[in-house]
Amino acid sequence: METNLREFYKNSYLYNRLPYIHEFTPSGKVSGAIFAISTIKNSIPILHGSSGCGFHNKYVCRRSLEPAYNLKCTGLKEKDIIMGGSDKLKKTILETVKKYNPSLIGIIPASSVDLTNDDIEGVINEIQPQISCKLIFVKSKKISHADKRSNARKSFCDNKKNDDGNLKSCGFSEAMEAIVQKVMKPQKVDNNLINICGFYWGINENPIVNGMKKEFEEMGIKINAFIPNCSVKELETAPRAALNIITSRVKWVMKMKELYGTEFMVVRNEDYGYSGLDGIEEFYLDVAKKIGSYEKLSKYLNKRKIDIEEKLKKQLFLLSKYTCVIYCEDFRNIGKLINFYGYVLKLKIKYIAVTVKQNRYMSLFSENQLFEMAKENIIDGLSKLDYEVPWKINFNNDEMITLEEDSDICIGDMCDKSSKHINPPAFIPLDFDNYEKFIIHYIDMINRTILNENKSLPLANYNKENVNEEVSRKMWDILWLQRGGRKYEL
Amino acid sequence: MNCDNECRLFGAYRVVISIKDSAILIHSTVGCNWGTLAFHMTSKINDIRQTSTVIYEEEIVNGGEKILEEALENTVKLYEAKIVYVITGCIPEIINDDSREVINKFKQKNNLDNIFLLNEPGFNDAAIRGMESAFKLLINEMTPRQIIKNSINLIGFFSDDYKVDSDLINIENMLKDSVYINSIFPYDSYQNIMKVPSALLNVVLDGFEFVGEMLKEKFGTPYITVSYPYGISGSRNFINKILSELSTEIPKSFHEKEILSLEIINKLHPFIDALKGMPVDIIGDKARIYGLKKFLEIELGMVVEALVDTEQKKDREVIRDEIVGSNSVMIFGSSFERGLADELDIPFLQYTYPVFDKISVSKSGYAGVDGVIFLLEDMLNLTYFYMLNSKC
Repeated sequence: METNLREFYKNSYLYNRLPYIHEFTPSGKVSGAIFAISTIKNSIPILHGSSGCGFHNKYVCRRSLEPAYNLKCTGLKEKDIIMGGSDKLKKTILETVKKYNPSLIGIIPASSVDLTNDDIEGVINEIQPQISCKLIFVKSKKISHADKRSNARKSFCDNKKNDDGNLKSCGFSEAMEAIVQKVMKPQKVDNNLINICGFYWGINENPIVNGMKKEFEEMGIKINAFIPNCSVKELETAPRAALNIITSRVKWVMKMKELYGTEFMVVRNEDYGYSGLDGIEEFYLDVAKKIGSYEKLSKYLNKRKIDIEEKLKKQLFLLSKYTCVIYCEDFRNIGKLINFYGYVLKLKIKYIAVTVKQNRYMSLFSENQLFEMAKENIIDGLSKLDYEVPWKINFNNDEMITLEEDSDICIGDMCDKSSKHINPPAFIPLDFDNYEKFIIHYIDMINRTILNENKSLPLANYNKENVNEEVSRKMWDILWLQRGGRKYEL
Repeated sequence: MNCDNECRLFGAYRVVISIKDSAILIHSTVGCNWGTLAFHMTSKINDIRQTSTVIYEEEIVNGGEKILEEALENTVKLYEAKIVYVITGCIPEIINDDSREVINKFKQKNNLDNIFLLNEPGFNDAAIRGMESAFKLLINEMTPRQIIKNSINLIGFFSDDYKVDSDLINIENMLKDSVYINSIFPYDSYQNIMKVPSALLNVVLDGFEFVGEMLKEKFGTPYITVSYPYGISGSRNFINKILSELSTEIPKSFHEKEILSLEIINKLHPFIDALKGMPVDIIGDKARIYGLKKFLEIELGMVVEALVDTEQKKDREVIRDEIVGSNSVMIFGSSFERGLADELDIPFLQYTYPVFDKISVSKSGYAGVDGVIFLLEDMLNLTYFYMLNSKC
């Protein structure tokens, strides 16, 4: 058994990186499709479009900065746009098969091909009988990306704590739906098998998933496939599993349920739920319910939880003598911060402050609406605590300095950080053993911060405003999120 | 077949984003904004001056002219920019947006003259054609000026070239005692770019002869072509060529710098000797590959087996076959070549656009007599200790 959390830290600091550029623009509708296909073992994505699309789309957002080196492109020219690019597609497929002998090729049309409507299905029907490699067409549902004007507001209001749901449109779901329909085959279901679908969990071995895997194994449950980081054969037999566990991009697992009856469960992990030991117990109980093992596993899981609660009791009691102030630049995070620091770690929260800004998804709402949502999040977050905490929306720096001086530790996501500041955890394990280690380790970090006598300011505080960078962020809000004028009425 | 080279839009973009006080509006789907920005900001961190019109189904049906106007209004109002370039991608060209008309009306209505259009659909041609359009557009705006004595323009440096700032410092340090650098075209302020016709001589990097020709035709300015100044001899040739054209002697300061660098290089003698006869491959743009080849072969005694000019060879499969078929034990290229180097289990040095797997903000350029030390240091660290650093 691992005795430390190195693998979690490696994943957070070394592997799981998102390009900074994603703060300024989405990557468009082929990026997630390329991620999905390029991640399947011995599979090759072919982008049917002009050479520039193939050039930059190798830089795929979700691959932790590792390009999809195996992406091929048909390199369409003006003539192909006018006369059709089917011949180039045929040629590219046949040459790719001959040279690399892949198990699967996913054909992904660029926006220009969506407009010219090349007969990709016709090409596949013509070539497929000649080759053993499976060809799938990742049919675009959008020319560029999702309609966020209508979906974003609705989705945000349906679930105010996060901006997930129907807003994602990088083509990942389209690619996975094509796999569900064209690659997967009906199977005899084994109730002790589950699939784990790793979009947010990345392409590398993830310690959160490994921890879950170990926990499941102790419960007699096995992982059937880690999708899409698996072989084509494993995709074919994916419907053997009784359950799909997924974080986001749920449309394809809905399709899997429709075609093969596979149940699915959206993991509301540390960002949204399943927080603390209670949350971990609840997570495995939810899985057990879905696969019909609740009776068998509930006592076992409860015992696991109580054992670790006992081990952590003393440490958490010692922590409860400390006070903290929580501040948040993004009010959507306030609930989980209150829950983690106040309820799970038992720190005494002295004050809560959040900022309301009409930017990014927040630009969909009026200031009053945002104020109300922030207030609701704070009150929700505080409902689990057995004491009153003063709070304020939109605060000034002087107020914060006074509050910081008056507490042992400062928690939050503000730009200016004092020596008393601690970052929220970079990860929270979803298995009991690693969770115990994590809590002990994080308590140690809190103690180090409280005892830190060095008052010099971190370099990160030196942050000169860059007007054009800010404008580039804002232009997305103006040109997309605010299209259509009127704000959504709650 | 695998055509995945920079398209026309990328070429035009790289020219106009290099103008330090420009803002770029890409009239296209979001992917074009993503791609251009991805390869720009990894080399030029925090230099973000671009946006897109976010073309979407609505524009496919109704045309993109309305959103272009709205985007223009906001771009002009919000960005701190002297000049705005609108670059159109594949989609507005297919749906036949009249972007020129929109821009002209907007300029007229708002009494503006600093907005320019570049129609650059990716399907239309390669990056070099986009660069030609953008250079032509800029040169069209220039007017004749009084010539400044002993002055030169350096042509072919872009803001998202890897280590461009530190390379330019090194180049300027070599030249400053002898010549006046009038402008670095297009990596300069708009005002300075408009002063390009003041130079006595245009110094163009390999591959940018067409810019020299355009300027010669319009202003009569002579030009010389130089290779990127890698290495001691490379730097000396670079300086020699420029100064002899201006009938100026090589300054004492250059010789002093040269001696300083040679003294450091001397310390590395046994390590450098070990590089002799090593087969390597170079992949990249014309501006850099010839200079690098000369340095590796002439100064270090290495053997360049495959020299790939990515403007000429666009099919990645053909390039791959050439590299795989060679005996090379090191690849010099863009970040995209890392995959091939990993596959062949040989060291890889990224030196040319796009570089998105390494940050470089320090004064550690590879160009000039100062840069040769950093280049050698990186090469030796990669090759000499390869077994320690590779994953196998």
